[in-house]
Amino acid sequence: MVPELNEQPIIQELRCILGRLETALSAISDALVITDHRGLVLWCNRSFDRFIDQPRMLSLGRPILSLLPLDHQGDPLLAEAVLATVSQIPGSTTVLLQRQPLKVCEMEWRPVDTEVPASVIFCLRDVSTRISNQELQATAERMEQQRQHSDRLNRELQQQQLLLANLVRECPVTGLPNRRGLRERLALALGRLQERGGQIGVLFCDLDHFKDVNDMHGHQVGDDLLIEISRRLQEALPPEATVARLGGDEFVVLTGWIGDGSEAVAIARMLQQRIAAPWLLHGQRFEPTMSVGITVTSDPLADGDELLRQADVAMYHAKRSSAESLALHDASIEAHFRSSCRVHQELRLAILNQKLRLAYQPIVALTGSDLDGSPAILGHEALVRLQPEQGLPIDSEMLIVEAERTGMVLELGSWVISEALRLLQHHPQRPDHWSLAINVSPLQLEQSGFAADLLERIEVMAINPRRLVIEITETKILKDSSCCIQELTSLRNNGVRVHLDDFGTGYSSLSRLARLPIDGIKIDRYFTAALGSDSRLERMIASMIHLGRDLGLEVVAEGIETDSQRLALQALGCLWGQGHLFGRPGDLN
Amino acid sequence: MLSPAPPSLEALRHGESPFVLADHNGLIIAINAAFQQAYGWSEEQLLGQPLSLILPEAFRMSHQLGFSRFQATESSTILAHPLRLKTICQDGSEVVSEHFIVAEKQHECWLFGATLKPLPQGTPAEA
Repeated sequence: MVPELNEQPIIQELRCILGRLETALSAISDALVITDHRGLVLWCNRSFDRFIDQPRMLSLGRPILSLLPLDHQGDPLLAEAVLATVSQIPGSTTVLLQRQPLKVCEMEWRPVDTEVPASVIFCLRDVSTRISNQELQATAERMEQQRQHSDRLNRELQQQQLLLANLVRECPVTGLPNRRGLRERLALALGRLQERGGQIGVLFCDLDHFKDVNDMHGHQVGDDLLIEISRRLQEALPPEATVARLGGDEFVVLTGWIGDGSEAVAIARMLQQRIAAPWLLHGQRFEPTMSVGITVTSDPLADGDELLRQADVAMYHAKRSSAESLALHDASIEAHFRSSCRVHQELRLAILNQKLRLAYQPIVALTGSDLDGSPAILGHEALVRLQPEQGLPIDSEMLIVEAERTGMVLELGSWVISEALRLLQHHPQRPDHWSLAINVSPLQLEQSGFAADLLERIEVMAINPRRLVIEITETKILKDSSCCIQELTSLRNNGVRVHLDDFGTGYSSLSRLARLPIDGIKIDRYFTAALGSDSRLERMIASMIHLGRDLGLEVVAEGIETDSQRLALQALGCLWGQGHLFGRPGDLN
Repeated sequence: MLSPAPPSLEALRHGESPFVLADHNGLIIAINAAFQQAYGWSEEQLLGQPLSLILPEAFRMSHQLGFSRFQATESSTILAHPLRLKTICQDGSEVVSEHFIVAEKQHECWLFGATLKPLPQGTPAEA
């Protein structure tokens, strides 16, 4: 007879064995997890609790992927595709969890063949120390080697590019010599001076408004124009002359032997005429013009680059100052250029270091006077002054010209407006009719929202807008009309007054004048100076005053220096005046 | 200051909360009326059955191993403090409930009693 089986002791023993095994597994430092076929955690040891910093009760039944940290790039430790295979294929991976401080995890997985289908055991361990001491160092060395290799390749490539560039002597568009080719020709020409004497001329030619051609008609038309220009220049010159293209719209002509500078000027004029002949392309008619700067030398030891620089300086002078867009480099042009560079430099520093100041010149009533017999002050014009820390003061007119040429007029103008508004805010006690005039560049008016911004500042600072007068030059308002007129109209509609500065010098038609959004005109000092000496100009100034008054405009005569000028203007019916007679620009008080 | 002593197994058994009692092998030896009402099980269905029957499948392995570890070491991290877990109802549905488990040795054998208070629907299982 089989005795009744008592399972209790066996169950008890098995439970104890299981318990000891579980305790042992929990004691090891590797984090262990068993998951079911869905990747849900069935069991994990204490090291895993510590690894994910979460009690086991919260891990059980959760997807393992949701419990594991992300790698240093924020990606899961196991890609979905890998996770799908873990119950069939064992594997392992080493993952960088974070760089600082370094944390690297090694994860291994094995399918577990039990009654639970497709269960998997994962083992995770922190291998940061091992990695940091060995593999990281090896990786760093490998990367350094790669970097050095890459640097070496780059240097070699740069050297090859340089070598190739040095071999190129021709412009790819026109086939003319480029700067390098020109240098060689120039050196040869200077060498020949040594043998035969005489002079050579360097003509720096710059096409006017070439950018507009590119912008309006495309670069292909622009290139075609460059080819046509190069053809015309070559055809117009004798074989011993050289035509080169430096780039963009810049050509240089190296003349053959010439007698003197006037001969070089004659060649330049001839080239300008040849260039200006109409050119038809795709139904478009072009009439190119170019500015030419010239330098001549008889010195065989002259530096070629210096000659090019001189011709370049003369070309810029021609573009800006010469009616015929042509200039021969001389000491005065060089001085003007250097002065211009200095102004540019000083202005940049003054804006940077806040060294600008405003000087105020009174605008007075020409009729009537204050109680003390002096003319009644109707307002002031604020004028920018720049006194460098060293050297002579900067000429105000040149300052503005340079500021406009370099675009710094925007910063300068912004500073003037801020100063003027600050002054208006802090001088509310001035008489009601008193106003402050500031000069505004069309470049400022072209800035999007100029008027809106100024009006907002006026409102915020609680300033009476009628106390502010914007002065804009006649030439510039006509040149950049539509945008400027829109902004000025907006200012006027909101109470700010607008005066047309330097009136009489801008060739404006009377019909245009009648339509301009202005409150007044300022007759240029050129006309005032002619009072009493030039009857024709006197009649013109009289006409201007009458015209202004007939249009209901405020008329201010500028540049009044003598009492006789004041009386003459008074007699002609001019009501307002400005000039040294009434005060030089200075402090407001 | 000493922390208050946990309620005794008897105190839990005679309280109003759903209660289940298991022997040293983890077999259910008693359930109260509140338990039957809360989870739909009858005494006939549960008495003599392993405790893991009323636990979600994902918890069973861990439960058995933990139970065995207690047998071997007589120490546990889950006793005498509330745990938010899921309980399986008779109809197979899962109810999030607060488990409070105590263990007492009687006549050299461990007994395990637990209250399982159902938590409002929508309560997350993990606290």
